[in-house]
Amino acid sequence: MTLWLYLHFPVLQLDTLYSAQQDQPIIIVEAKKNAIVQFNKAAAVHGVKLGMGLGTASSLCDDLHVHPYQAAVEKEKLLEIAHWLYLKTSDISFFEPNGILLRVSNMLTLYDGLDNYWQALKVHLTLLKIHFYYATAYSPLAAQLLAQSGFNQVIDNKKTLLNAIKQHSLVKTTLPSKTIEKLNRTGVRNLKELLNIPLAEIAKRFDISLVNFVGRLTGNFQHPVNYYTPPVQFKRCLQLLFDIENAQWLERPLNLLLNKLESFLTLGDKVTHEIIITLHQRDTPDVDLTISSARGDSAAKKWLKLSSLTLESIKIEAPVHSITLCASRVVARHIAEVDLFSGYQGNTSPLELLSILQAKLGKQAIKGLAITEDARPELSSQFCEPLSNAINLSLKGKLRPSLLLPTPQRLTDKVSVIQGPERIATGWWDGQPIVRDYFIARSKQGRWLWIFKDQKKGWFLHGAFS
Amino acid sequence: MNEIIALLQRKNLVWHAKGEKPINDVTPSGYTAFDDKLQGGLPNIGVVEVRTPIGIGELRLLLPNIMRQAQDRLTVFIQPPGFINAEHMQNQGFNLNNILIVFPNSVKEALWAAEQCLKSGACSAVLFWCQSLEVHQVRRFQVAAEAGNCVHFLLKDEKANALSLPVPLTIQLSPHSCGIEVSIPKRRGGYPLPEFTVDMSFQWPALTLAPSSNNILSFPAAKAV
Repeated sequence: MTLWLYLHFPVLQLDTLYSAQQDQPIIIVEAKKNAIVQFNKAAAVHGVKLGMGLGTASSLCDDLHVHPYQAAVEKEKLLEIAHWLYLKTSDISFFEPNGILLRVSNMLTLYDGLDNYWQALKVHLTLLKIHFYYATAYSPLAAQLLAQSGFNQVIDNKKTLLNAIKQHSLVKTTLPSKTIEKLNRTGVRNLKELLNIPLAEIAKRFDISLVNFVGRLTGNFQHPVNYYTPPVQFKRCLQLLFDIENAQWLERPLNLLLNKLESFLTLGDKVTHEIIITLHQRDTPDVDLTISSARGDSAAKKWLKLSSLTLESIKIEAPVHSITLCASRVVARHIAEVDLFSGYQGNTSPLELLSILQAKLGKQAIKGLAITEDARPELSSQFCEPLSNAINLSLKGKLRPSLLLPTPQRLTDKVSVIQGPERIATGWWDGQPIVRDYFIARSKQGRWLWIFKDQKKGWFLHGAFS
Repeated sequence: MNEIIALLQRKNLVWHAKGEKPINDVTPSGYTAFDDKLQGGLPNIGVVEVRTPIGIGELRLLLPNIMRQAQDRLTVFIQPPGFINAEHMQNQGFNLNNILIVFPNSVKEALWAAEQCLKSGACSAVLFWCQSLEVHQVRRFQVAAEAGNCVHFLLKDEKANALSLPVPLTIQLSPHSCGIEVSIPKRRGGYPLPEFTVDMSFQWPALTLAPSSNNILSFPAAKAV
């Protein structure tokens, strides 16, 4: 059977708070229930207890510091703890809001025994300066139960562990109160009595969830847990032997870093969408260059091409003495399926082309087209993120010019009106109202124009039927 | 020697003055008169120079052809003289997600972007509005377009430069009341063609004038009505 270790953090949010004075009573109150969920020693001296209301607590102690309970803070801290523990142990699972479960069995070979393992882990964990309870057991549920009750022993003796579990009353478990009440009526008050009943009997008299609970508590049933995998990061720094003042010469050392990146990404079959090149300059602030690839690439050759496009356009102010390369958005490789029968396929994919263009011209120079439901012509057709694969509304039918002016301009040419008017009066709800009569007109030179007359009888040119 | 000539003939690289053979790699433009004169339609690959004023219907002439060629590849507009209207493009049947609009900061960047798009193979058509071009730049475009299997429309002012550019096809457009007036000063595998009219009254009834009608209201009169 697998041995599990559960770490329970009773005052996790309190541990994240920075307080200069230790003797200040602090309590954390869950606003919805108006109940104290965490408090420090100084508060305990005044007689503050768990589950107390805020009013009672403040009458016990006059200089009380009150913080609202925030689940997000605890979740973040839990993630930090898991990240820290990952240096020592492999299989980590979250039990939100304030527990972490570790699978011990497969670490024992590495640490040569449970005691050594726990010593290493405990020393590592105390560095974080947080309060924790711990317990081992042969099932996640049992370990959780023991740790939450402050068992604080790391042992692998099955009998002792089972005895320890049996002493607990049903109220301490994660069972719903309805089930506990039902069990109480049949005379079952603690786990010892519950575990004495054969599983078949439980299945006959109670529902399946209780059977699952007992099975999981004893470790006979599988308890599915999701293991934490830390985010993949790549950051390498390269010290240059001599200072470089020409941006073009940076390509060679950069290539070394990109090759390292490539081998790193290839190992995990990953690609990155963005790399950040930091140029550390002598006596001047560092320069960050962000280079992104819409498709995601791992090949050093591709990244070098994109970076050299960006390097062309920058100017180094001071000599560069070292370069740092950081891959910020690492994701699993997505294989683009290419259909053999879907016509001509180039050697560059649209997304690759987009990355190349964006690297050289800047992101703002490349636009895609999108349509909105707005009746105002300048808002109906909008620029958007290129190649976004958005689902566009289908608004077919209206005769609209192919080219629009960025802003309407006063009509100066002599034109003859061919068709119209089409009145567009809308936008009163968002402060940009328009009331315009649109006409199709033909200028003396034979140009087909889209013109409008506003409320003040002024004529404007808005587009051309190119 | 004969073999080489046969090969060149097969690839449409030799032109016999006596016979006008249809060119294979063309896509119909959607306008019958235009297609007939061009022996089938506009080329699928290569540079097409379009000398035209803006706003006379030049895009309406070209877009149906570009649409037919697109096949899920990109259509790129480089420095258009206004904002390309999404509604019009959708009416024409384009998938808006396959349209890129490039606003380069300088002429150099525009040329670079055009060449990148052409040779990428990800685009089926690149429309490039420009003022003047050098011969060598056009030659590079032609090579890039052939590498990327792409058609490149160079839209320029008719007055911009009278200099003949090394392109397979030059189209000169001028306004006409029932559509657009086209002449072809230069084309590969054929004689230059004098002016002819492409009638758009079927495709664009609202944007043509009936040939002999007098229903045009002059501007002040329209105001009075």
